[in-house]
Amino acid sequence: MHCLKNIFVLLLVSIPFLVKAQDIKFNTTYQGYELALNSAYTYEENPTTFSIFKFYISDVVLLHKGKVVYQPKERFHLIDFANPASQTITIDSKKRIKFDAIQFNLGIDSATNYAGAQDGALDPINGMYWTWQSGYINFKFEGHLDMDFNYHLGGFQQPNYAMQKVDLSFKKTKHIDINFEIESFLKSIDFENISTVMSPGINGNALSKAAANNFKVKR
Amino acid sequence: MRFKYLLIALFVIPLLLAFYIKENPKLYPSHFPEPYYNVDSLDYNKLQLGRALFYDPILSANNTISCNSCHSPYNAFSHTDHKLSHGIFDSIGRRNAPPLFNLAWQKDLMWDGAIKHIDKQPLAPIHDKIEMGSSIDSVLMRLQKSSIYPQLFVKAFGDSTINSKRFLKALSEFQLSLVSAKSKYDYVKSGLDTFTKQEQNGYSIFKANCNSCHVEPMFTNFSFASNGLPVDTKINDWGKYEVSNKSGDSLLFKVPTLRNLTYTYPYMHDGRFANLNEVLNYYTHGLNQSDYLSVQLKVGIDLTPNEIVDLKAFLLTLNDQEFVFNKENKFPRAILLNEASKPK
Repeated sequence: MHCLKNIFVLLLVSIPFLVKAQDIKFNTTYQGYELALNSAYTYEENPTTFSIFKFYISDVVLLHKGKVVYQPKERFHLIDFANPASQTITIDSKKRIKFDAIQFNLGIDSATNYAGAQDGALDPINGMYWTWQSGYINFKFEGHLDMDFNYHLGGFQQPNYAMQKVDLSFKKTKHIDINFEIESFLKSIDFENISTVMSPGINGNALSKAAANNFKVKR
Repeated sequence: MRFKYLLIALFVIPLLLAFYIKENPKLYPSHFPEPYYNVDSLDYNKLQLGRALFYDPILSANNTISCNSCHSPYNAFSHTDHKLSHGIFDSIGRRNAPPLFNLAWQKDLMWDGAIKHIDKQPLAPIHDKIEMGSSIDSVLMRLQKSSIYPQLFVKAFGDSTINSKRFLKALSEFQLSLVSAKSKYDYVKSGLDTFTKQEQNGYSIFKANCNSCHVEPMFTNFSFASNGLPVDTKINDWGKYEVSNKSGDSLLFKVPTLRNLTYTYPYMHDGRFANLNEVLNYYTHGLNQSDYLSVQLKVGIDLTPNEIVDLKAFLLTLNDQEFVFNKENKFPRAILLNEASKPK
């Protein structure tokens, strides 16, 4: 009997999980707990704080078996952890959407960087625009660890086209909860030697890739 | 009956056409290429708002510096007599402010091409600590509190919302309207004037020696190049390299237009040459064969003193006095002085 129940559960799990799409939520955690900006943490036994964490997400699509099944109306979203409302991208659909994967870009595409003045998420008052040269800052992360660190990642011209594509698939989750783990991000970069990135370049490209790899489906 | 309508149409259509042409005069003559930005449908009210913003020190942190502090209309919107332009708190910049005209043909802005769209350009001086020392947020806040701007935004955009997109678009509208196309050279091209013998000779010398980079009729090919000038070790300005980090871009600066030279001295990105004689002397006698020197200059320019005099005579035909003295481009007294006289 017990065995039968197990088989039944296994069967359920193995069916591709096709749940009704919900709002897309971006979270960030530090050592497993939801990040609180400006709170005291330790990193490898050193005191640390994180003061600014925001990034652009663009061209989100939900997929089912490789086909696009949903695309939010807005192309560009600024996720700012100082503004909880910004962490959610609303899915505006009355129909039940079957999906098994999500795709989005971390950052802003080249053509948009070449375009004229924009509003909404792309308004330069959001502090995500380099003013001395053209270009959006895709990813901004600042804090203190031994010294102040500032990561302003971006760039839209080769070889420093910093936008990253992120593909995530859903298997064991009902919710579109996407998480960015800060500690694993810090461990994946050369933190000791690179504490400041404020312009497009090799360091910005490497950190952009590392950042894109740290988006995970929350389990 | 039908004939009557035809007759009316025959009269009315040319009349309407004439009216239309009069209402929408092209900003540039037929010998100009198609501009990169559309300048055929500039909006008068947006343009006037942009003009007010251009001349208003409200853009700077302490209400002292406006765009025209470094881009004066009397100097074809450049900063004459200053090697390096200066900004807020008497700070000295790193470059000589370039003149502002025919911007609609320029894809890459700034000496190093750092800015890729004219709308985004004002963000640079506004935020620069040694130019205006402010930020777009505080500029918008000051404009919202002002006694004149809400109504100027209503006129330009239909309601009093003041946001960065409208602010930047208005400034673009004014700057795109700054077209310099009425020099003697342009009148000659249009068949309305003729060169003197000396100017004509200078024109031939120009075409043989200068036109590969300073391509007529814009007198620039809008590219970035090195004319061999060694880096100023105090300013340490590496030009386009500072934006791209590519070694091949070292010491590349935008090829400047040669229009309105009389009004835009001193010359070069750092204003190191005070007058045209120094510039022509450099190209003909002092050219520095650096590793970065552009291909076009590797052969050298060999001119006799007489040829230099003729070349200079031609270059002076590129001055556009009508543009420099155009009242429509100047400080909008009616708007801005009204504001100053009102009690806060």
